[in-house]
Amino acid sequence: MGPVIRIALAIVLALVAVPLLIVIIVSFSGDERLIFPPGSYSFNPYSALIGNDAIREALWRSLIVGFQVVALSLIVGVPATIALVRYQFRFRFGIAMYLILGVATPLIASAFAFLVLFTQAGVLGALWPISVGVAVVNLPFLMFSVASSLASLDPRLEEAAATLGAEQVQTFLFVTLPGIMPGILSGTIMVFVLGISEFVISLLLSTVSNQTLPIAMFSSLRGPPPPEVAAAAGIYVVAALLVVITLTSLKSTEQFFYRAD
Amino acid sequence: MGGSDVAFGWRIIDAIIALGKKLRVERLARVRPYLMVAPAFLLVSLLAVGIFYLGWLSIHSYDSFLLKQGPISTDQYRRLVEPPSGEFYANTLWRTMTMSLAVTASSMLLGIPAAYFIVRTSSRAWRVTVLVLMLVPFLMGEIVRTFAWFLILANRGALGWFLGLFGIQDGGILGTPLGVFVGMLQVSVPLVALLVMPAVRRIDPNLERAAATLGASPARVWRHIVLPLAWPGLAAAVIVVLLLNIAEYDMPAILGLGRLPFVANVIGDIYTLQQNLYLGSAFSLVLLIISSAMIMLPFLLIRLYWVYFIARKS
Repeated sequence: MGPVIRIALAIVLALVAVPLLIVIIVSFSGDERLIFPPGSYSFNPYSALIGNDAIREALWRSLIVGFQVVALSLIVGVPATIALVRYQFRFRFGIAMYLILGVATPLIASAFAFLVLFTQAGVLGALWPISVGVAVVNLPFLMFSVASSLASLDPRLEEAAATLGAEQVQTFLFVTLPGIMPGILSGTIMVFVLGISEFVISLLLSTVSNQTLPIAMFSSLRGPPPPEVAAAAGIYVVAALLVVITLTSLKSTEQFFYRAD
Repeated sequence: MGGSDVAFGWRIIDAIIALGKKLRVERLARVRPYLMVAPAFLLVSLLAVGIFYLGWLSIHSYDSFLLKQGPISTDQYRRLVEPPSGEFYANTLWRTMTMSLAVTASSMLLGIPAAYFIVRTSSRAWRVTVLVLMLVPFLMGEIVRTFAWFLILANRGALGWFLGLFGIQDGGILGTPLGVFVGMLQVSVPLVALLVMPAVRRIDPNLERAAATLGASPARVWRHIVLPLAWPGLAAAVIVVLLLNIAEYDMPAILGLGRLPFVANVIGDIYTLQQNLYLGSAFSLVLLIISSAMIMLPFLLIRLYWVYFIARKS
């Protein structure tokens, strides 16, 4: 491969990887003020994180939002994707386009739309409106993942099951569902991680008393960042890294990003 | 025990089947796809209703002293363009668009070669490593990316330290457009690469080899084979990355030190500082309309091209 591609790749890898390294290193800083390179190393940021009630509660809220987003996306997303991929019906294309409205709208406009809607409904201050908003915006990621899995599942397998006398329920449970499980799994992981790290929607829909972790981190970045923020960031980086390694070792993700013909 | 558990599972399935027969669900076969998409449709409709509500609020005046909605008027849109703050809003919109376009263009320049490398490299280890590193920024969240770049670009950050090794003094580039620009690249470049990859994957490598054998330089191979054939992927990447960038919030707020607000920051401030949902709705809608126009533009250009092409032929 030519030198131009090599140079571009080197720049890309630096842009992508250096920040990850810096966050990990600084999360073990022993200093009062976060600088690079740290003057000394310790586990202080992590113990400060455990000791900080506000940050710990925000982390808990983010996890709840993550689980709610996953539950909601799975319940509405999996049947819809199966219908869109497997059945021919009127308005199929239009409905598919409609369902990805969340990624076609600038995030801040979606967030403001949810803000005015939920303000009018008087439900602001609860955690579930945040989950609903995040689920709508990230639903397409689950659907893409399930759809790519479904597309690589031979429909003749389902027909064969039906021919051999399986009822529709049995065909679905024992043929379709196991077949698309990898896609459901990678989609679920992706939607969960996007949910716990979501920012703009939480920013507009959260109140002072129910901030999620990204919002709490943002608030503390207004001044010199306290060490526990470095620890929280370190956890996010490691979690994202673990998830990505899991995802890439799943066959469905390799199909999703790098389809083998 | 295991055997009876399996039997129990089967009995449940039998019961479901029997129930389905009793309720005669096969009557629903024709509407089944619609029933299956209905929950997702309703969920997304919350956003659609919210957007319509944005439009409704944006065409009303608002009394910020009495906190009361006024009659239908063009007040909010006039406030976006007229003095005293019209110029500020226009500048913000201009900054958002120009910075987003610059980031998108640079991301294409860096992301396309990266996608090409991932698809064409013969080493699986390299492919997986690059893929993993590109996916991580996407999943770690906007605020963590911003924090990482804060640590790099700040006064006593990693960049200053690195330049210091070569004896270069640097006060950090926080608060400059360059800082925001570099930070935004971290997620835009991988996104371009991920979206362009499937398109590059569909190009037959033999075409490139044939061109090279016939004496085409690498630049000519790219110009006449790779880029034209990857065109749909490139268009998709431009749209998605541009959409992501014009809604950017954290990078301008933290890396720009608030001196270089984007539309999203101003909309956030309108809500938190002025508590004015009406003006915020109008600005959100302006951004939404601009972004929709940007999504439509490629299709419109293709359509125009067709009209022109057919008109010239006949």
